[in-house]
Amino acid sequence: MRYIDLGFISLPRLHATEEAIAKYGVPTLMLWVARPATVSLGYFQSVSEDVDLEEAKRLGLAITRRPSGGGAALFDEKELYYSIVASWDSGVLPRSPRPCFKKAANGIIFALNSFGIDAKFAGKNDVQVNGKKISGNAQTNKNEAKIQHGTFLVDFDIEAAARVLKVPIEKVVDKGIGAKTMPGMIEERVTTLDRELGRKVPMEEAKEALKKGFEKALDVELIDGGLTREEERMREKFTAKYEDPEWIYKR
Amino acid sequence: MQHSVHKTRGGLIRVGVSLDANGRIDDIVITGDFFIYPEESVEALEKVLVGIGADGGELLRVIKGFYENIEAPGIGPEDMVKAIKKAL
Repeated sequence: MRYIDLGFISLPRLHATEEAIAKYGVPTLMLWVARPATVSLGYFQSVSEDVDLEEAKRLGLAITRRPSGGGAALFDEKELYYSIVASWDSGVLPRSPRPCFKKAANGIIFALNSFGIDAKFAGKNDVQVNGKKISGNAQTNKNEAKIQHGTFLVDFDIEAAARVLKVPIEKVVDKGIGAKTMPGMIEERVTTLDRELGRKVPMEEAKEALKKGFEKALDVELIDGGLTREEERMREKFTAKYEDPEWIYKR
Repeated sequence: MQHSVHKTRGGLIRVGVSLDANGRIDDIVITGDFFIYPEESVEALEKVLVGIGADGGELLRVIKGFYENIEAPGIGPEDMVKAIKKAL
């Protein structure tokens, strides 16, 4: 299976890359880091309801909308991200949402295991360590291919996330959260690789672990590669679509 | 537009809805942090719901029909109806 290290990439360009690969369906794992820091909204979310736009502006954050559902998240250089794209008939990922989430989550769980951390799939799309979220995931389908992507929290900017994401009270009232402040609330629910290990994990080390985790979870051998000329051409076309304010602000 | 927030197993559904003089849906926007596949079907549902009476069985019937071609983990047709009615 093809492996591409995308390095730093903007969210619109990342989603365009995913869609370009989905067009041809060649199974591919990509690891990437978000630059510039961006608030990523789920497909169905509302810009005005789910993001504090004034705070986003103050913090210099970009706003983007994903092709996949789920909740808003702050994407930045502290975290590592993955995208798996594979045609349905390649068999790399199950077609059905939940088994697909579980199989991909195993890649993250195996990566955490390699650091001596016990983790498990939880809820509909998370990986947790001791009941705290360390990875959020989402998926969609394009052109009979699955796009599965998510976060691997190496580190996490709690302050910025608390300021910019509007978490509705309905979402948290029955979760038994004791802390009153937003940063405190996030801190009780989220953990990171750095915090679990008590040291600063270099991004390259996290990448290597995640790559190996996915090799095991997907039962594939990953081989370094790049985009084909056709994929690159499609990526340019799709980037414009994901950068279009009409797409970002459509709800 | 009147608004509601409805929590389901599959996520939070927010509905913004306005009715015409006959109590039929005039405009509706469904947002939230859920997953529905294919994603574009939600826009299609919003279009289909315009002109549908907000009370009575028609709403549930239309939404159930819409469910034949989608996957919505943790969100049943009844949740959708509940979210819409809550806004009114």
